[in-house]
Order: sequence, then C-alpha cells, then structure tokens
Amino acid sequence: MRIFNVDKLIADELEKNILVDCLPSYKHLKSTAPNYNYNNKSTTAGGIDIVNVQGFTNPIYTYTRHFPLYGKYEDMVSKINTPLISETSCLTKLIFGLRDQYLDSTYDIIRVYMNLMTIGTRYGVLDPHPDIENEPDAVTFLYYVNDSDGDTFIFNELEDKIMFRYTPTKGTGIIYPSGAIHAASVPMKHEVRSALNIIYCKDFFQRRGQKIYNEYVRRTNKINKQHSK
Amino acid sequence: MSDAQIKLINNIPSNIANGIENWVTSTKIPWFYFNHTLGDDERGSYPVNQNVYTIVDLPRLSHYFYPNSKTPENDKKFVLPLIEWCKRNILPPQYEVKRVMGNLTTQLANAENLLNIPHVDSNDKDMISFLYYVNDSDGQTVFFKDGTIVYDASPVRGTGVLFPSNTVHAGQVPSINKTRYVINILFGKRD
Repeated sequence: MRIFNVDKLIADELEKNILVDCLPSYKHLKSTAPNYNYNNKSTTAGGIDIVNVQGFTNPIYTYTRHFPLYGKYEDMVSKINTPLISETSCLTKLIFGLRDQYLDSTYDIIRVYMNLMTIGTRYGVLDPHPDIENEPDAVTFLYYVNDSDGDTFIFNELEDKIMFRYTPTKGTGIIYPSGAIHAASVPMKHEVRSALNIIYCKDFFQRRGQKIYNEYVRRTNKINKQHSK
Repeated sequence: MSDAQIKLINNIPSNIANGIENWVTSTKIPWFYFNHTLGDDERGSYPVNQNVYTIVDLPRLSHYFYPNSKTPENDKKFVLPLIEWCKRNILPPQYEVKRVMGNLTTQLANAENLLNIPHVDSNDKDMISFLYYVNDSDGQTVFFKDGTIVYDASPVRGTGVLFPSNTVHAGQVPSINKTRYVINILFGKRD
C-alpha cells in the first residue's frame, strides 16, 4: 500500500468536473470484481459493521464489464466506453499521468470508475471486495476527488483485521493490489464522498492478442494526444 | 392544509406510475450531483415565516428529462405518457411542456425538521408546475403564501401536486426512506 498525490490544478479541475459541472453517476448496489462471490457471512469486517448503503457510480471506462463473460474478445474492444474519458481532459491527465509516474507504459488501463456516496445515517463499511480477481499484475489507484470522511479500509483475507486505513483527502489517493479486499466506509460528516477507482494491469491487452492490443493502443494514444496539447 | 390554487392529483393511471418508477429507480438512469438545493436560475430570496423547520441548503442529484436528456429514448418512453396525460386531464389546452427535471434526495439522519431552501420554479405567473412523486417516501413538500405555510403534500407514489410555478415551496429530506424521487414538470403557454 502506498499513498500518492497529484498536482493541485488537476485536483481542483477534477473536483469541479465531477462534483460541480458535473459527471453523471448511476445508482449501484455493489462495486466489485465481476462475479465476485461474497462468501464471508460475517456482519462485520475488521470489527466494523458492514452496512448496505446505496451508492452511485459512473463506469467511465469499463473494459472488465465485458470481460470475459459477455462476449468474444473481439467484441470487447468495440465496447470500450471512452467518450467520458475523452471529454474530460483532467481525467485523461490523471489516468495517463499516474501510469507514467508510478508504473510504466506496459501497464494497460483496464477500468476507471467514479464512485459517489452521499452522507449516511448509519456508520459502517460497505461489503468488502476485491476490484479484480486472478490478476496478480493488476494495480488499483484510488483517487479522492474531495475531502471527506468515509475512510477506505483494506482488510486481510479473512476480513477480520484492518491492514490499512486512509481518510479521503482531495488530491491524494492510495495504491494497492487490485485483488486486495477493501471497502469504503460511510461518510457521516461530509455531504458527499467521491473517489475515482483506476485499475492498471501489466500487458493485459497484449496477452489477449495482437489485434486487441493494437486497437487498445490506437484508442488510448488518440485520447492521450488529444489532451496532451 | 389546502390552498385553492394548489391541487393534489391522485388519479394518474397505474401503468404510467409503474413505468416511471421502474425507469427512474433503475441503475440505468444517470444522475448529476449538485452541491446546492437550487440551480443558479432558481436562486432568490423568499423569506418565510415559520418556526417548524430549519432551512438548509443540501445537495441533490438531478436528471434532466427535457431538454438536454442524456437518455432520451427511455425518458420519452416512460415520462411522455405522464406529460400527455397531464395535458389531457389537468392542464388548460394551450399549455406545453417547457422543462422536466428529476430530483433524487437521499436519506439523512435526524432530518425531520430540515427544509430545503424555499424557492419558486419560475417567476412567470402563467407557468404551471406539476411535482410528481415517483415513489412512496417521507419528506413532504411545503407550500407558502405570503411567507406562511398553506399546503403540504406527502410523497405518495403515482400522485403529484399541481401549482402555479411562482408559488414558493420547498421539499424536505427523507429521514425514514432511503431515497425520495420526484419529477418536476414545468408547463407554459405555447409561444
């Protein structure tokens, strides 16, 4: 686990784009890896109550939604949801900037979600979950759009111990292996808590064939160029 | 409480209410977060004389059905029947729809006495608002005349309140139900 910071100008622009201008979000019930089986019947995680809270999300870039359950690999490429990335240059700067600063170009961008929770009525953590399963080379960057309470917790595999805890602070974020079991907690003081969940994975597309990889590179280069001017 | 110009509408066909509820409460409809109760065009000062509520400026999530819909196909499919029904049954013939906006407010603890900022939907005395309740919820809508409360309506699924758009009103935040969904439709005279 590691903490990262981004430039204040980008942080301000992101907050404005997401919470003021603003990026749409969709009501969701759970945010997790596809087909993740919540087999832990415990009602607590790390000693904190697990609560069922309605949240909102925007699957800005959702490659994994179509992988591998919803179609052939060839179909997946055509389903990459890029319009919102390409409309929001600060988001593009963040996504490519983090990769270039903390990883390298062999890491592909495989998922970007914006999550939003409004102030809650009962404190607790949401259902603990991994972002992706069975991808040891996947890394999540969880970026906090605004200052809020509603700490992020990372648990051990049994979910009975807190391994890491971080309070959402605008312009900062945490880096963790995407398979790590984690959960957000409910904000009880701040009106809203918004975070971007960005997942990179080493050689993800290359492993799925040259055709798909070429298409991925073509699309991401186009977006990157558009906003690096 | 009642006021002659504010009317409760409770005879909307159930198939219209079902369609709207299914769409609006689904995970497919986009909501936009706003950190204020009112849009810039709705700001204004409407002092009210009451000691029941604490006035607050809370955030909301909104969806534009018309104009500028991001999901025009489903918005039209599910909300247009309500608009057509309103035109046929509760509006004068020369009226047409000018704006349709959905608002979503989420549950807040100890919100029983909190009231969002009183406002008008339009200063135009010829505009008519229809506030449609998508789901059963707590969080009343309170209407004022000369600063005094003259009417209140509880969100009951499939019902709504028709009122002149220059009527000062305000919504409460739900403290019991998880989510309160309303659709605010503004009708105006045909240009």
